[in-house]
Amino acid sequence: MGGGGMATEAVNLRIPEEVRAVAGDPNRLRLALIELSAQVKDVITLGRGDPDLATPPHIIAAAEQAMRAQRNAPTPLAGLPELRAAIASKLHRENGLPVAAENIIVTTGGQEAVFLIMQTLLDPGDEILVPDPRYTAYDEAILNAGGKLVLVPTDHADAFNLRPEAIEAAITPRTKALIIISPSNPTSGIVTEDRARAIADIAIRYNLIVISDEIYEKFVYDGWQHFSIGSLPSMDNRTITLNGFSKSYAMTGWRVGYVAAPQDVIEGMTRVKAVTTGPAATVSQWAALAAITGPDDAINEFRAIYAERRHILMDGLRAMGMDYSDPRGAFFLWTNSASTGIHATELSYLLLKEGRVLIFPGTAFGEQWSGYLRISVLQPTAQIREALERTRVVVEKYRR
Amino acid sequence: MNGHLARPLAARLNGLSALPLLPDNAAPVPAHVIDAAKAALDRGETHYTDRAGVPVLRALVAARIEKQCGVQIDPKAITITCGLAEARSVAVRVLTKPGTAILCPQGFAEVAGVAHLIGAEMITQLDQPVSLAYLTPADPPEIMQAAIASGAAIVWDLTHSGPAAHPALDPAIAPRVTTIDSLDAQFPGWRIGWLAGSEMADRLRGFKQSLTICTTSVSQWAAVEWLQKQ
Repeated sequence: MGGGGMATEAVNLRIPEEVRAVAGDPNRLRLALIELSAQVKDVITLGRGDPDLATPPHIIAAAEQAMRAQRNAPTPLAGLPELRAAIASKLHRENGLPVAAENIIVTTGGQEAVFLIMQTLLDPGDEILVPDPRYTAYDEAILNAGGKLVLVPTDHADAFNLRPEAIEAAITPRTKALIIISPSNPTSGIVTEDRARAIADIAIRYNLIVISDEIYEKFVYDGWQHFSIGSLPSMDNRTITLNGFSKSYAMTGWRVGYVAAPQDVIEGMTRVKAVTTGPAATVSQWAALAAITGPDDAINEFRAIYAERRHILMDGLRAMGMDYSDPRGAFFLWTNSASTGIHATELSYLLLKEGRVLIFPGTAFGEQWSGYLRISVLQPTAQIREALERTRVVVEKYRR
Repeated sequence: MNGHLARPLAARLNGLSALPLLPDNAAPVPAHVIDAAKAALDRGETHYTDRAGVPVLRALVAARIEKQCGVQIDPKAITITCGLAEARSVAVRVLTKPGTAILCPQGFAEVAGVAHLIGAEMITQLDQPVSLAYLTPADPPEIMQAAIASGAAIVWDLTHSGPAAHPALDPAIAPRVTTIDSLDAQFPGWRIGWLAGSEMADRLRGFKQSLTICTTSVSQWAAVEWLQKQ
């Protein structure tokens, strides 16, 4: 395991001060690169996880219908009752979760869901197990709640699947919860059903809460299957399932996520939400209702588009001599860039400045991942091909 | 699903009882605002916006504050939030810290709630040192003046109107004044508010981003239309 063996000190890297100043803070590093990219003309962005595809027309039509019918008043804090019921129905039908509407809270995007979960669960000093590498918004939410982040290593050879023995090794008397992110951001690995079953046994044995982030569930490829750990016997009263509309339906700007959990968790989260953001925007919730009760044609179409793009990316990366982890889900390629001999933070900056391509360094998902890049497939194929060519030129120029 | 979690919830939830209420008597949303919202959707405004909010909305907010209070704020120091609740929540979390007191003469529920969650205390009378003075133009002048003189960070919440002048009119005080307002009175379901100004603007924006990434795009474009016609 490990991040690829690059030196981790930012001090010797060829990066500007605004990047150097935040190089040790993954969240700020991502934001700094996004802000720098806004100043780069003709940039191709394979960075932020914002689908380039449009929200499907039937969802926009439903939003318009609600607005024009003056269904604009604020909803209850936990969400529009019709939406909560539809989410519960979906989770029961598709994911095998034994949930009802009162087990659901609608949030202002998935990121708020993470914040509310941590505020509701954690007391100062509680430890929470997080797979590494990880989307580091989790770090902030945990630290804000006074919790302690304990990293669980995952590795390339295992396609970044979670290893039950690694989880068990990280458990202490202060461990309160375990996070599973499947499919994973940033690795695009998944937690397979056999591993999920073994992890559930551990959670029951050590009386742990499992937070299952399934926001990329609709994007699984090559015959792999998504599996919800909350569907397993005896897991229903210890699993908190997080999902949302941003990724599945290309609805990032609408800001709608949701959580399914035991009722006391939902009640606690609702009380925190009342003094955090209030209810999610009403128009967005009507749009989400149309999404979750409507046809899945658009999702299937999105999946086929992403599958084609990732094959183009995989071919291009192999041609450059770069390896990547088996991308079983999501829409990223977690790419091992160690063969370039360039620290990922520096390579990311060079790709942006000279190649006009925004790709996040592995260090934006954990400081040790200096030998990796996270490349998204969220651009049309022509742009992806162009980005690959620009990347090739920069890598050839600076390869050590 | 069973009603209770296998392990107890955080102790901080105990005593978190204050639940703010949103207006339920707002007027119908004007047709031109809905038209603008639909036009935004039609041109693909369905993605994340700038984390601080769409630039045109931030400029309109700056103009509104200048017109209303005579205070000039750089639009770059403005962050659009998910309603008043997020503006108040982010302000209290960023501008104060656990173990301190927050003066809030109006006793706003969000301020009390967030103070409780972070282990601070909300007080309505200035009878001890405070880390944050959460004020409105309607507050008693003597409390307001004493709080400002204490050197505490200041929130100036414009959702309660009153006779007092904006404290940021004094250049010596302006760096520690964050202005808050929202469109909850007009469009409570659209969830639009803002945090404006102060030397803490970057940190306020950063916390908002970590909480909700950005504010609902279609709501921001509806707010643009409404503010442009004011």
